[in-house]
Formats: sequence, structure tokens, C-alpha cells
Amino acid sequence: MLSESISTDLEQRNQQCSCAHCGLPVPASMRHPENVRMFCCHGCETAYLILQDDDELRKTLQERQQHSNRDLDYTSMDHDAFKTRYVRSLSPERRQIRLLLEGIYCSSCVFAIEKLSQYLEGVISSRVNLTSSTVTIEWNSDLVSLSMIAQTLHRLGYPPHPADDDRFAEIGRAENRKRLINLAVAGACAGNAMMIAFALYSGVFSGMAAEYLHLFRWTSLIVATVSLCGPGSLFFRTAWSALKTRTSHMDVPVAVGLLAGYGLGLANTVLGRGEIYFDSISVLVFLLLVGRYLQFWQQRKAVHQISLLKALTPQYARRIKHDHEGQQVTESIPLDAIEIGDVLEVRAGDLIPVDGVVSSGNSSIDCSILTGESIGVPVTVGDHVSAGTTNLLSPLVIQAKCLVAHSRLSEIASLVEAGIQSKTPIVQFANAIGGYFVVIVLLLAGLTFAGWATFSLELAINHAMTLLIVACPCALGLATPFTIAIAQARAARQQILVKSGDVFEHLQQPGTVWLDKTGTITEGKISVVEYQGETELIPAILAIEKQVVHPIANALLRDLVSTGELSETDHVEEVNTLPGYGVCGRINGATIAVGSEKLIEKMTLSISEPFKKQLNRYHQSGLTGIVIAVDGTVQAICAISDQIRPDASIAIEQLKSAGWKVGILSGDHVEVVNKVGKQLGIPEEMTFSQISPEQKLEIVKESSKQETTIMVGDGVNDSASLAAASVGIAVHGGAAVSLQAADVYINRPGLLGITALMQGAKKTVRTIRLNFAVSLSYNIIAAGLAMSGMINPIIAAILMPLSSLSVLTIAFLNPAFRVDQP
Amino acid sequence: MSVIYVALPIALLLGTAAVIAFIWSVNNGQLDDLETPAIRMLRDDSRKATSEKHRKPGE
Repeated sequence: MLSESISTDLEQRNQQCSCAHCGLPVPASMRHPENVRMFCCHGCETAYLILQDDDELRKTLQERQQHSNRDLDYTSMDHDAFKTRYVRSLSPERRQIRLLLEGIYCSSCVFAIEKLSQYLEGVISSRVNLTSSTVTIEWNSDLVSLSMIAQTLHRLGYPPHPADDDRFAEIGRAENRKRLINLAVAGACAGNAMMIAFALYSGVFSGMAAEYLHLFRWTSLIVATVSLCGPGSLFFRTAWSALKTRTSHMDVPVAVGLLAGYGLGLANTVLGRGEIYFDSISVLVFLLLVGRYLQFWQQRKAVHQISLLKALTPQYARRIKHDHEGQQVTESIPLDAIEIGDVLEVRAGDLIPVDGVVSSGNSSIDCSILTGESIGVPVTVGDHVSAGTTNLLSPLVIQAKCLVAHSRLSEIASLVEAGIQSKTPIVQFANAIGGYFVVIVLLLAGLTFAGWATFSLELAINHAMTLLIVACPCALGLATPFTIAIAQARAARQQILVKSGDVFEHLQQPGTVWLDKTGTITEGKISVVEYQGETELIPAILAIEKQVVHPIANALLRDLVSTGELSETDHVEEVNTLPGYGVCGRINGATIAVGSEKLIEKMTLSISEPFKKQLNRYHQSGLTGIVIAVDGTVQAICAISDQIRPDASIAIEQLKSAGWKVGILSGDHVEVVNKVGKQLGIPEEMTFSQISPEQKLEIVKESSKQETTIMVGDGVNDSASLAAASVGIAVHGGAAVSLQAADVYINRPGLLGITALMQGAKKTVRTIRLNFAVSLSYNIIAAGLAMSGMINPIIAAILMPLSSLSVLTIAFLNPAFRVDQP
Repeated sequence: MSVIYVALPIALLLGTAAVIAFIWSVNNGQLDDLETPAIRMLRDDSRKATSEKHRKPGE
């Protein structure tokens, strides 16, 4: 049975020769004009038929289409404020923009989007970048508007968002290019130095005329000079700045080793005797740069994925204005274009764009993202609403009271800056060791010199210099970046996005974990905990709740179905919503009211003693009571609450047994927070409720002065403390600001990701230390040989790659974030 | 004069040429995105619907 319901726009556009499933042109061999529908290939035909046959799938598709139709309004993209911010003019009519697209995954997506110029007249080109999920579109502004392009992209299944991070993307790209070029130069130098070294080594065994020997040594010198002065200069610059600030850094011993090797090699080349170490130096520079590039690349990837999620927050508002005939019209405008006094429409389910005052309508506002309150706040005419909160119930008209840049939301975002500044940086283990390392190596070199000086000054200089070279911590310098890059890549595959490698080292010393409540410990949405009363009432409750859009109604509809039969025959009349109280209506002649406890007073309902006591009990245990009255008498009650995530207690137990102290920082009401704390076994002195974002920041700052402090949260109100904590972890569904502020983003529901991160971090640091031990033992062997004067370039040439290889192997064998782990 | 006096500079020059080519490609933006170009080359730009080329890969 073929249905018309999911015929696409593309199909209508090109009925004769486009595939009914994917919209691509149908090749001649597949054309059957007698058929109503044609397909470009058998795969599409099969897929189409399966979709038609499967009712459930068809429904999902229809729903998706309806859902997407609702948000198809992209006219804000034609606004001047949007254009000046995002659109580039290439010529009088040629325009260019970069858009982030949702839902790009594979080659088919690239095909579909890059064919945009064929679907839409006026589009000149569209180039997809899969790595960054962006598309760069050029179009003729005389022929087609940007909103039309955006709409078409949306219809294709890729909702577009303006790419806001252009400046950062530009910086990142320049940095990436610079590092790649350095890598290439270092790699070429290393390869050529090795090639020449090969000739020299065979000369050692089979003899070589002095003429050629000099040629090779001088060429080698040139190659090593290029390597050191070009890409290798990085190590000298970091070492120098570390010395100037008297901090210890891994690059100091590296620079000493490189300098000693180059100096000795240079002297020996000029004097025409002894060993040169140019091959070792060039390879060392290349390997160290490879390790650093890998780490940089992983970090960039994580940061990029997070910024992609951030961009998904809608960036437009609907302004109501009067046209020249005095008619009311709404226009879609970018957030930047909102001016004080603008009248804005906020539909149910939309975010409130700016701080303002309600000028008409009654509704309920979800403030959890800003304050942590888990239950909607009723608002009516004259009430203040804040940007970033969600309108739940019915359309509101608000009047903007400030610019978007000055709203409470932006104020908190600037608190994040304060948080970042108060963060205590960690000295990486590798860099801390680097300080001792250089001292020990210099001491040993001094000893070697003193020891051999009694025999011959020349020998003494030679052995001391050799020691400096072979003790150069090549493997040591590789150990950290390689291990961290590999761990980060594996963590990302488990949806744990780590922005910086420092996170792993921070998580070593157990300290305090502060958890946000709403949305972090709890689901962040309301569900029914208990129902008391006649089950026969349930169908009527459901019938009446079906008439309203409200989180509590949704919870009742979702959770009560299992306890009763829903009869479709009951007819609901005279439905009346009482914002802040509940809803009432008539079913089969009886008046039924469902709502909060306040409804008892409002409608003067009679309630029996047992129910009254039960309601009190609910209240004491932090639950919210709902009463159901039939004809003025309460017949049933139920308790609702924001449920604790099923894995929360396991995760908290695991944290505690690993030695962490666990506390709650919440903006929600005291009873609710205490109840959650009690259920999870969190001591009362560690449970803070009804605190502002500023207070959260203070508490986190205070405790991070004493010990490692981790903040876990998802809301705007957590973001400043996320930035200030030693490690800030944003959890699944977090607000844009919190993603930006946090060091780690866990993109999967539940709290077990935190424990996975901790375990992974522990294993990673253990691997780093193991790697240090291994590479140090190579250095000790080499240093011992050099001190006794028994080392020769061949042994050095074997030891160095061997130690680097063992470090790499250990980094790959790191058990952290393996797939088989939870 | 030995051939090595010619061969060695040539080897180094070839290496330098490769590095210069690589630097050019990096600055040209060819290494900014390593995923999409690999897929893009599979697409058939011509609109002549005469062959099987219009099939999407993997189908």
C-alpha cells in the first residue's frame, strides 16, 4: 500500500527523473515511465517499500516531518544584524557563509548537500567539511535568500546553525598548518640524516675514503642545522622561557641534550675526528614533534565536538510589530537585534531569548538551567522572566528589559571568566621530573669530566658531552603526549570528551566531588513516584491531562498508563487550566480537578484525614503532592518528583570507595535537596541547597584551595564553578555555557561516565609513570656506559629507537578506556 | 670525481622539493579536512544519466 504521506519536496520538484526515495536523478537503465515512482537504484526501492510497509516507521517519519515543519522559520537569517555578523560579501551579489549542520555522518550526506546548487537556483556552490560538520555556501543574493537555503537544508534533514566560532576555527587552522609544516621539515631532515648515517655506518665496518667521510659529515651537519634552527627551535624557546620563569619543564633537558649533541658533532666535523650525532638529533626532534602533534590533534577534535553541541541552541527570537496598516505581524530576528522595549512572542517549548517582563499570557517556566529548581515556576502578567529558561505551558508575550548581552545569562557567562582565572594550574608530572632530570644529568656530566680529566682533557670533554647526549630524555619526552593522545582518543569513543590532557593528572589525588542536583544526579524531568486512591479514576485523570501541555501532565500521562486501562469513550468537556494550580474539566457529568495541594484551598475541596497526613508525609520527604478531586472531594493523591538517576548511587558509592568526598551543590529547595542527599548517603554538611551561581563558585574556589576539586553539572548556574574547579565535568544535555566552561564533557546519560573517567585517568597516569620508569632505565644504562667511556654511536643509535618503541608500545597497551570496560 | 658528488645533492634537492610541495599543499588548505575530499572524488559530476555511475556507493 503506497501512501502519499511521506512524498518529499524533492520528488515533486523533479517528478520525471528523480528517485522517489533519495531524490537523486534516475539513470536511464532504471527508468520505467509506466511506473508512478522511479528509483535510482534497487537499494532505494527496497528502502522505500520497507518504509511504506512499516506502520510504526511511517508514523515516526511523519512525526519527524511535522516536528521539522514547526521549526522551519529561518527568516531571522535574512535580518541585517545576522548578515553583518555571519555573511561575507564576495562581490555585489555573491555571498558566502559557513553553517554548522546537524546530522552529517557519511558520504551520502556529502552528496546530498553538495548537490544543493541543483535543487535551488541561485546557489553557486556548497562545500561540505565532514571533519567540522560545516558547509560553506556561496550564493547569488539576487536570486535566492539565505533563509530559503537554510529551509532547504533543513528539509534535506540537516538543520543549519550559524558557525559562530569562526575566529577560533581560524586560529586552530593556522596552528594546525604550522605544526604540520614543522613536522614535514623535521621528518625530511630526520630521513636524510638517517640516509647519510647509513652510509657512514657502513663506512665504519668496511672502511671509507676520508674524502667521502668528510662529505657525508658536512652534509649531515647541514641537515641537522636545518632541523634544529627550524622545527627544533621550539624546544629551545620553551626551555628558555622555563628558565626565565624558574619553572621546571621537560624541554630543558631535551634542549641541553640537543645542544650538547650539536656542539660536539659540529666540533668533530670541523676537526675531522670523533663521532657526530646529527642523525640522532634530527630523529629526536621529529619524534618529539610527532608526539606533540598527536596530542594537539586529539584535543582539537574534542574541543571541536563540544563546540558543535554548543551551536545547537537556537539564536533567534520572534518579535511582534505593527506593519504600516496597523496589523500585528511577527518577524523572526537574531538575538543580537533585540532592543530594549521590543515585544517578543515566546511559544510553548521555546527558550526565553532575553530578560523581560510578561505582558500577556499565563504560563509555567522551567528555570532549572538557571537556578536548579526542578519544578516549573508559574508566571503571569507583570512577572519577570530570565533569558535561557524555557516556557513550558502556553504562549507568552514578553517585553525585553535589557539587551541580550546584559541579561542574567550573559552575566553568569562572564562569571565563567572569573572561574577560569581562579583555577590552580597543575605542573605536569613530566615537567616536574624534567627539573630534577636536568640537574642530575649535569651533575653526572660534571663527575664524568672530573673523573676522566686526570687521564686526558680531551677524553674528559668527549665523555662528558656524550653523557649529555645519550641521557637526553627522548622517550621521556614522548611518553606523556603519546599516552595522553591515545587515552583521549579512546575516551572520545566512549563519549567522554576530554579537552586537555591535564585532566588525567588532576584526577590522581582524591579530593572532593561536588555534584549539581537537577539534571545531574536526577533525570531533570518529573515522574510519578506513588499513586494512592481508586485505580478506576486513572482513565479520567489521563483524559483530562491529555488536554494540557505541562511537565506534570506529561509525567502523569507517561507513568500512570501502566496502572490502568485508558478508555477512549470518555468525553472531556469544559476543560479549564488554572496556571500554578492545575486543571479541571467535566467527564460523564462529573467535575474532575487535578492539581497541586494549593488547589484544595482554591476550589475549597474537602479532603479526608488519611490523605491529609499522606500529603504531609510527601512534603517531609521532599516529594510534591498532586490531588485528584471528583465533585469537590479529594479521591486520590499521588506524589511526583524529579527521579534520581538509576546509576547515581552506584556511581557515588564507587567515588566514595575510591577515596573521594562527595557533596551536592544545588539551587533547588532545601527539602528536595536534603531528601536526595539522604537517599544517596551524602552527609548533611556536604549538602548545599538554594545557593546562587556566585555562592557555588565561592564554595568550589574555597575547596579547590585545599584539595583536588571536581565539579559536575549541566546548568548555566554551574558553569562558573565548572570553570573554577580543578576538573569541571559537564554532563549529557548540558547548557552551552557549561560545555564551554568544563574541561570534560560526558555525552552519555548517567553518572557512570564520571567513574569511567576517573578509572581511565588513574590507569593513564599509571601508564605514563611506567613509561617514565622504562625510558629512565634506558637513560641510566646509556649514562653508565658513557661515564665509563664504553659507549659508541652504534650503541646509542640502537638504544634510542628501542626506548622510543617501548614507550609507544606501553602507551598503546594502556588499559584505560578500553571498549570492554563499562 | 665520484658520482656521489652529484647523487648526494640530487637526493637532498629531491627531498627539499618534496617538502616544498608539502608546505604548498598545507598552505593551500589541502590538509585542513582529511575526510571529505576522499568521499567527494567518488561523486560523478556529469549529469549524463547514461551509466551506472549515478548509483551511490555502497548500494
